Amino acid sequence: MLKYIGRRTLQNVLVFVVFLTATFFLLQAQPGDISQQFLANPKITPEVREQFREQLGLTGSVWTQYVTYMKNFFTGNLGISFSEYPREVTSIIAERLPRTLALFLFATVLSFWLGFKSGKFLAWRRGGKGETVVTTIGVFFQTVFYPWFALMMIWAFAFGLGWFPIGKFLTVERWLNAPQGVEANGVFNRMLVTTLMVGLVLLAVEIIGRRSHDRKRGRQITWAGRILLVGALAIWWTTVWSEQVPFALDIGWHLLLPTITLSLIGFGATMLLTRASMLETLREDFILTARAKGVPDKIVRDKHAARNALLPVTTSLVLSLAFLIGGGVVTETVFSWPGMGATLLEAAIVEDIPLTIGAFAFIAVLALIAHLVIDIMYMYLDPRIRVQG
Amino acid sequence: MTDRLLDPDPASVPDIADIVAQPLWRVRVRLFWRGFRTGWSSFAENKVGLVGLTVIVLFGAMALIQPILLGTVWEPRVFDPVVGYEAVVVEKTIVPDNEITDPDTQVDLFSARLIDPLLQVGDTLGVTEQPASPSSRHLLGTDSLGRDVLSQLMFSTRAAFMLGIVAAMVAVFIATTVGAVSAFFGGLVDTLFMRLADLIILVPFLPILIVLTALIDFGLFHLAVLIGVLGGFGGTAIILKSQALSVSVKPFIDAARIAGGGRMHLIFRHIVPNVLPLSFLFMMFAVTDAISAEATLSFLGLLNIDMSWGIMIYQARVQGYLLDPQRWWLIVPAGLAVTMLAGSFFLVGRAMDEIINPRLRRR
Amino acid sequence: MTATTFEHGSGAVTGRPVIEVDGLVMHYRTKAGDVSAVDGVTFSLGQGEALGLVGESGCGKTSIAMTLIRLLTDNGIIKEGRVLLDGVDVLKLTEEEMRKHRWADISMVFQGAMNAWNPVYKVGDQIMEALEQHFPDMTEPEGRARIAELFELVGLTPAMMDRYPHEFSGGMRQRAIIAMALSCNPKVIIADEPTTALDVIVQDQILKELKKVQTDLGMSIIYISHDVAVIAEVSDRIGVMYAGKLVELGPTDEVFPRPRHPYTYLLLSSTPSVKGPRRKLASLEGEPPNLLSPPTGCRFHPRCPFATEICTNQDPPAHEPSPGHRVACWHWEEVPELGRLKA
Repeated sequence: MLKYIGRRTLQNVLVFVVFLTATFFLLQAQPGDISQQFLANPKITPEVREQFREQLGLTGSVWTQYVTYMKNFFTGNLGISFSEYPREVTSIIAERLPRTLALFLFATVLSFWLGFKSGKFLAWRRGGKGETVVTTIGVFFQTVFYPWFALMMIWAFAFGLGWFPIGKFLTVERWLNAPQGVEANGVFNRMLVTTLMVGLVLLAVEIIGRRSHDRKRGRQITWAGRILLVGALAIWWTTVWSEQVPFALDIGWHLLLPTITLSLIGFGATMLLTRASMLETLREDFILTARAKGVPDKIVRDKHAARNALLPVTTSLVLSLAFLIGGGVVTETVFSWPGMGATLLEAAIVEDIPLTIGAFAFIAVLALIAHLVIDIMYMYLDPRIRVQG
Repeated sequence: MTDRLLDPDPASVPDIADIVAQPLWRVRVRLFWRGFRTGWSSFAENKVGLVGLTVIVLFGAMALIQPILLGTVWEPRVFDPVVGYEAVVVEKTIVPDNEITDPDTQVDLFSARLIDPLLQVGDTLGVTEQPASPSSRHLLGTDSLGRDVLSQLMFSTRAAFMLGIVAAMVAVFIATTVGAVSAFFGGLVDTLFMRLADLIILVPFLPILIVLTALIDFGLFHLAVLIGVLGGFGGTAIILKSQALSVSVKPFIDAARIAGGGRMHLIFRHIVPNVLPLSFLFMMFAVTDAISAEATLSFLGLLNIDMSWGIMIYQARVQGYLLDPQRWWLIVPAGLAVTMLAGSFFLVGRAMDEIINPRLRRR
Repeated sequence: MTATTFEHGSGAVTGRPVIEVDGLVMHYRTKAGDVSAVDGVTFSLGQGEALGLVGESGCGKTSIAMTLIRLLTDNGIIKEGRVLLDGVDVLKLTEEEMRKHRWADISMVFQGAMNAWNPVYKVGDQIMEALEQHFPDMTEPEGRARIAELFELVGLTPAMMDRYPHEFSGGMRQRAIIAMALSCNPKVIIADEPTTALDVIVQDQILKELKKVQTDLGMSIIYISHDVAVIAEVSDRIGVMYAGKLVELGPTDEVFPRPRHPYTYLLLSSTPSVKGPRRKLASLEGEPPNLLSPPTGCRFHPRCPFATEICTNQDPPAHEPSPGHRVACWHWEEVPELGRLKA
């Protein structure tokens, strides 16, 4: 199994290299020296231009240029942004990336969970009016024009009902009197890390609980773990981070609507696919076997059918990954959520080449890693794959 | 009882000679027609597909009517979607400063005096309203440049159709060919194309388009081709390849090969026609994706097209009306149009899916 | 806490038949109408007895099996009749009650047992599931010991219980299915096409296993197959089904040399035999009837070489050529011995 992960990682790195190369040659295809494109930009002084030329190694042959380019990339030198001169690209990315990560992660998990649950529900209750309604809803979310939909969400829930803020990262007024050491990026990063760790701990607790052979003890362990976790969080938040919590909540509140909107778009496809997959699975012989054994219907549905139906849905998650990332760009634009997607867009529009490439590279890396994670998940879910290593 | 089988009623069985004597084209036409009719009746069973088809036809009508309207009822100077202009004038009553209760019908004294210093409270003044709200003359109002929104909406249908269909045809053409060739030749060719497809699925569509459109200026047609190419080598190719594969192992392929068919002949005359129904199905989804993609790109401001639904929303955004629900006609109709047209192709695709994939059919 | 004994119910040996089917009538409701799948079937199964149900596809044998275990599809409707499982009418039970009987009193070895295993769980865990369902106080070590015992019984290494189904070969999977079917010590096992899709060598092994189960454990078995040869080999009694009706029922060693129903006759005549006298092979013309609107009178009359007018009008009652041997035919006396076809 480890061999498989290793191989996939290598493949991904290869893909990434191919990307960089392609981008490089695309830039090369531009007429003239790329640094000359910015003659008109007053912010770019001759020194900057020279630096850029050096970075790209434009002072040598195509081959040396390529080598320099790649070398720079892998040593973390992504150059200096034109539009936010003199900030380094890497620092801009470091600031924006966590925000996109948060949006992407939460939206993916939420849309998958929503889609799977509703699809499962639909499949078991085949027929009836409810089915047509929910299917229509699913189709609607899959085909609606996303920017428009996002706007309508803002109009309805932010403007109309006032439940959420109208975009942006935080409400500036609230932060004016923030105490020392409370700074937006720091707070946000800590929030993200906390959430991830909570997620991991919950997962670990689940797995440990399941491994226990005695079912009762297993359940006790799981619940004990969860309660411990909640307790630890409560203590931590009321003491060490007590200052930061209200500010973290502010950011969290801003994160809610974009996440929900992005999830709603994604969940339609998952739901429809889950339903189809469940219906297929329910026809399988082993479902009949389970029922013949006297297993209650609910357990047949969840333990036998859903678990198998999960497989094609997980595969399709890979497809929706690309969709969610693209959707993230639109979400960030409409909601003014200052993440990587918005950064990429703005950089592309003002032709800030280093930033564009940097942002794009990181988005690609995000996609590749997510893909790898899903592959590993699939391996865990389907024992038949494991044999092939 | 068994006798009946060996000795059927002579009058009812057609003479073989008659059948063979008919020209081949006639037979083909008849078979095609029959196939079409059965396909249509299965399709029509499903209301979903019919709804989609109806919407498509409606939009098509819209696209066709617009130039007619422009030539007859609508004066081009006013109603041209790109360069038309009408300053819609609204009569407003002048009220003292700071006492405006209804901005739609009142204007304050100070602003009024900027236009005509001699005006008094109580006078009415014609104020140019841009963007103008819907009225009987401009059914969907005007945008901030004084152009009629309905005309824009109808005009953009043309662009949407053209883009959708071109992109879809390019994509499906590529995907079918790649699929058939991969299935037929196998080996290195197969691995190459499948790896390429994996790559394309992996990388997010929109960011790539963002980067490309930033670096290169695209017109509508070129964009359509680009979307088609990017889509064609991706996931659809994989699905079509597996379909082609299942066709290529069927005995009639061997029969054709033995009869002397060359490779090109086998691929294009035998395998591809059996993959075509599935290709056609995916074409529907490709149109959906293409229309959405263009609208999104235009919305983000990356495309340099005169007018499309995405552009309409983009302009609203650029002029600051994005978060202004009061001026809904700038955004809602265009967004709805994209959703409905893209959605209708999707519905047609789904309805076709039920035919081509009979496992989903209800008992 | 006492150790779990894997017995369900009394386990006492009584003279009462394990299964009694009395006048069972079952329809499938379809868009086109009601399909009469089982029409007035009556038979019984004694303890430790092997009954074989044979017939063409669609004759109703699998429908009967599904009715016995009450796993009919939603459109299967039981119109009349009783099905007694150890004296209890299962048709009158609620779903909850029936679940207690499933597997513990009556279990199944399915057609195409390859796919009867859930691919994502280990084989042992799936058997454990059955055990936990019916013996909730059982501990895990007890369960594992039981599974090991069962595996040895069917000729599998106990270590295999921690493997996944795809790691088993076809024959091994079939054995494991038998092991699972035995796990809760049922009174009856229904073996639905247990050897289809297996090669002859494995087929032979499986049949021997099942025979062993019957004789060593005293279990009653109902075999269902279209393969006459298989049925003949393993069954004590044989029941021939046609178009939803049980046309002949009797001890195997009586029915075989001397079938009394024209259908049975033609069925047996159309099977070549390596042993026995050389004879002309008969063939059965036509097709099984459409059960949406079955033929009037005897359902076999359109294809029967012995049919006369009464056969088209009246459904034949059961006659008894000899005790324990029933046949539903007006002309049973005319059916010759095997080997001689009426001109």
